[in-house]
Amino acid sequence: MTKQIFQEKAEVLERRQIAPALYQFRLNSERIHQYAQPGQFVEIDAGDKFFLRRPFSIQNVRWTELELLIKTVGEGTETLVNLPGKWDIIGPLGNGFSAPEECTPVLVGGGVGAAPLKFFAGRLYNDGRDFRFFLGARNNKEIPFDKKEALYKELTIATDEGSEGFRGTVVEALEKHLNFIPQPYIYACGPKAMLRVLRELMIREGIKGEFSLENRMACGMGVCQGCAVPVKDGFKLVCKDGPVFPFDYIDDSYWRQNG
Amino acid sequence: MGEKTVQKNPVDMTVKIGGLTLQNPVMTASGTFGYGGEYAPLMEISRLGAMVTKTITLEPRLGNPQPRIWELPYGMLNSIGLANIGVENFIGRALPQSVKFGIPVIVNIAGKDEGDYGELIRILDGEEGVAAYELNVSCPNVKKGGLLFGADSEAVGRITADCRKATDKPIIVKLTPNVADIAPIAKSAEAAGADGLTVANTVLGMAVDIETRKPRIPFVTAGYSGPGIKPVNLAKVYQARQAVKIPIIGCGGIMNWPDAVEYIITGAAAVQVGSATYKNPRIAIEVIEGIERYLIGKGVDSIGVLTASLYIVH
Repeated sequence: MTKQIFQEKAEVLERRQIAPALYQFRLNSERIHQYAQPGQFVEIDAGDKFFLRRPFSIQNVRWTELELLIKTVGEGTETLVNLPGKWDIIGPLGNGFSAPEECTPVLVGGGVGAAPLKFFAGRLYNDGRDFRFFLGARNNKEIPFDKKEALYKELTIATDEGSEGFRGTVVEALEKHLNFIPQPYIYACGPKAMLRVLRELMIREGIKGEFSLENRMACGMGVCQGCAVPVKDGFKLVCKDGPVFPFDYIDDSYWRQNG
Repeated sequence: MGEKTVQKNPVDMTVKIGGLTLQNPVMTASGTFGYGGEYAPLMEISRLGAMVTKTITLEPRLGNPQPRIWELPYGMLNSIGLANIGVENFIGRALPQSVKFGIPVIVNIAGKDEGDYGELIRILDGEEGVAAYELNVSCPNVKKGGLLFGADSEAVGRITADCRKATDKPIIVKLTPNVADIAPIAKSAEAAGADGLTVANTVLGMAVDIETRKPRIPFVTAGYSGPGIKPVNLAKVYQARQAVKIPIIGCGGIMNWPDAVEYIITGAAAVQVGSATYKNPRIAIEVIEGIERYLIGKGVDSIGVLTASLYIVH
């Protein structure tokens, strides 16, 4: 079966800077929005100066619009957030989060990594699922959600300096609540350092779950083999086999690497 | 996506490499197009002259450690390390998908030892849908084989001769640009029975993080592709053209149709589009259309007339 992947020119409907290096975008999409699943991503052309596209997870789909949360980390993303005209995007790419079975889905997001969890939270809410959402951010300005929305009733925020919610890391916040969550199953996306600590907690507590990983990638289509990560039986591609993997399928050697 | 019916071209775009006839001179380069079907959602694969598969080895290979890619102002470094599913899985899983597009599938192969190439051909030769072979004797990202073979004209000759004994299908040898003189290597491949040469693979390159003083790629050196290498590989095509009679397939940094036309004028009968596909998956199709428009505009009725038509005034 051929996967539904599209290349389209997307109109930028909204560009909003929510923190010094964090931007909220709304794009109009013709077809990508119809097929996008929580956890999937798009690859965006950052203009003539850059040889490779840049991958971003889909933060949300509303009607025919894609929401993206873009953190500027270098020249490419800095150019992209100011790129005039329509954006050339390819997607939806990769495999998203699995549908939860008998469990309480616990969403754990850190920084810009929280983006795909917003999409997933909306899906769980619409499905009438009881779920928890733990969100770590540097400060109260970097929280990319409208907390007044009903679906965020179970949102626990952790900020580094305690400017909002729990003071400390998102994993510490989760640990405090863990005993009160029946049959937790973790869906996590965030910096590697966060996932590393979360993984240790999950192993200690015997909790299952899945992580969305990121990596440098060129094609985004499973072709160039650039984004391979070590798993229990070899290598898998973040772009095509992931970005979401069962957390215990990722090989220990991945966690020993920096980043 | 429905296959397009092939329309009669106003110009003759066909190209011959050994016994193989391509409907046009544009192929997708090995390593940038997977095993064949991956880009089907985004472009009309059936319109290509041919596709060249990811390098296949006897055994599956996991490839090199991360990071494997590094973007540069004029291209990228890659250090994939010939990660591939191995010949057995290729025949079982990938090849049946690749042949569905109705264009020649050129299987790119590499070995750790010289004998691996012939052995791979003996395994592949009976399989339906293998149109030709491209011998990768030029990968810069492996410890054994690769560039070591490709920089040694005698090794290239031995490998090519061994492969020639194993098949009647066209053999294309993919040369490395990382040599002072490509002529003796090109001649050696031709003398041993090669039907064509791909000129050339990636240029050896590297990049360093000045904060940590670490190389950007753990393997230290890597393969440089992208528009930055086009002048380098173009000069190799020019030199190889003067050394051999067999068709040359120009490869390296083609970003648009004028780049491809430059290679053809310089001496290439055909071209391969490589890592430019990552940014623009339709690039190869745009190159085909651009070459055709160029020929019509120049009043030339056949692509063959353009090949090696370089006009030098001394």
